[in-house]
Amino acid sequence: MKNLKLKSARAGMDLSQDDLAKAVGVSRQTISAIEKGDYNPTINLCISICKTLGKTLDELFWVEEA
Amino acid sequence: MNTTMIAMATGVVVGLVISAFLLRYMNKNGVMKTEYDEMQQKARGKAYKYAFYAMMIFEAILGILASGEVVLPFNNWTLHFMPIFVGLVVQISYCIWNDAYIGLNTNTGRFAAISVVIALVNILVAGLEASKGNLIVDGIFQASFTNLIIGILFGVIGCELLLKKIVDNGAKED
Repeated sequence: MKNLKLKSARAGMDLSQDDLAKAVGVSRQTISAIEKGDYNPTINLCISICKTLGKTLDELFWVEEA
Repeated sequence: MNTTMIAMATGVVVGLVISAFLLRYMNKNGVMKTEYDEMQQKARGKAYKYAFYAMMIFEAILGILASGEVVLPFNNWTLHFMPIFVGLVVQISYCIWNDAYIGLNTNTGRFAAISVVIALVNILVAGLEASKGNLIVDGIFQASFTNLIIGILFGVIGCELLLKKIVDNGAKED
């Protein structure tokens, strides 16, 4: 499942995938894979991303049941 | 122990030492250890698993052929390196296609330059041996055939990386 919340939060801060990747210490491809839903990040990486984007885990990674 | 064995063993050790220096040069922060992020580590774990399976299968095939007294046109040195090469191809290819080959601290320019040099040197060595008639003796590929395979391997790695870059650029979502 695509993580559109992450993508929009990143775009909202005017960060490219590469910028966010460098900020959290991963490759651009990893950020791309998380946004596309191809990779489930560890909680440590989720927290790093949240801190960088100024969001909570719920705001970026919580998925509401349909 | 004969001189050929000593020469081969020395060659392997020298190759390992050179590889250590090249790794330090290749990495941006001058360390030997290439760093990978969590997704890359996961992918590399799978790559090693598949490479291990591929090596086992290939070695088993060679064993079956040997037990059937099928003579392959390779000398012992080359024959023992075949499963290693198969494993390398599987491991490297899986890593490339899962974005886990180039590390976080890899200087891609230096990596490409080193790869081209290694490929060319090995192909050159194989070419020289071929010109002296030492590549194939009595229909059997000799040790220098491994140089040719290494050269081709690095060429294949380069092509795969280039292809992956083209595919990534085509599907870039930023």
